[in-house]
Amino acid sequence: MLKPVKKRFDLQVVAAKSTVTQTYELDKAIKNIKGVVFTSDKDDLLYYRGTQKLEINKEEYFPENYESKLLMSGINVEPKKRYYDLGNVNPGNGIIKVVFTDNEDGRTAFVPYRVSLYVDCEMEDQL
Amino acid sequence: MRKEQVIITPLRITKGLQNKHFQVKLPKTAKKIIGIELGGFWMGARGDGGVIFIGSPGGAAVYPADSFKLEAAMFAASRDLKGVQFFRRNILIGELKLQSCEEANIFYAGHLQMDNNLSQGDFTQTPFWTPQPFTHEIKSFEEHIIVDADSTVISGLYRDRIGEITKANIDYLVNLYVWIEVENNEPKTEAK
Repeated sequence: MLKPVKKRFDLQVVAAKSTVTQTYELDKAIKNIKGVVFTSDKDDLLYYRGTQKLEINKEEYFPENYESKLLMSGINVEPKKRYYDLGNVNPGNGIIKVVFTDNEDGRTAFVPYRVSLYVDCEMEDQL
Repeated sequence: MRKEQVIITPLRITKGLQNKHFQVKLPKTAKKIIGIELGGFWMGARGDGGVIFIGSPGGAAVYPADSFKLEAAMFAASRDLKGVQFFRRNILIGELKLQSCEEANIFYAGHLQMDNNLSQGDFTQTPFWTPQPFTHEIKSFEEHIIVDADSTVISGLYRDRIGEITKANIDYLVNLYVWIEVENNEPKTEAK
């Protein structure tokens, strides 16, 4: 039986206009990836400045320069609907690669911020 | 097997009322265009480009100079009505039209704008805090269209409108996202 689990992966952006590449590994028991959502400790910076590339199992789901704001959900969205629906993605080797780029934007002043990727998964129930 | 893919086309706008003609190349494996999405960044440094900045608790918001005057007047008017907020005109940034080279007429016409009415009817707002796009925005979705991708390119025209409103040259980047469906005939390789 598959049970829903949420995984969180963080990266730190410490310099303006920099690119941060991070690779994360999912548990082997995860059988499906259903959705993703991006959040931050400084939402405005992620919203206005962020772009990212997202790969799962070496397959590109969002290309470079895809704006983070398109993968964020405000508090007006029902909690159960906040994830960007990817369908049922086979995690394969379970490797998720994020290439995050901070871009200059006139509305914000840079300060270091955290970017969190939440992954909505289905895990094999081992009980 | 068919899968979705997105092509990102950045368009840099530097002058008021600038018209930008561009083409988006489609891969040969593309079967149809299924959606269009728009986004962008202000490129001007803080305080440049005919824009003024207003501090807000969630960070500095940017408004073109003329629209600020308009907003200030509307805000004052709304205070007179004891917190009832008028609808405020959204700030139109630019207009976009797309045409497939294989088809007559445009298949997409849309506009890029800043939402000035997020706080409408939201009772969490106070005189010191109003809902911001990054706190209250609903989920972003592409606009669904269905156009076959027989053509290898689609032509587009982007016209700046914020320069017309503000009478200033505002430097910004528009990202056009063209979602396509591609045929993927490669056998799925097992991950190592």
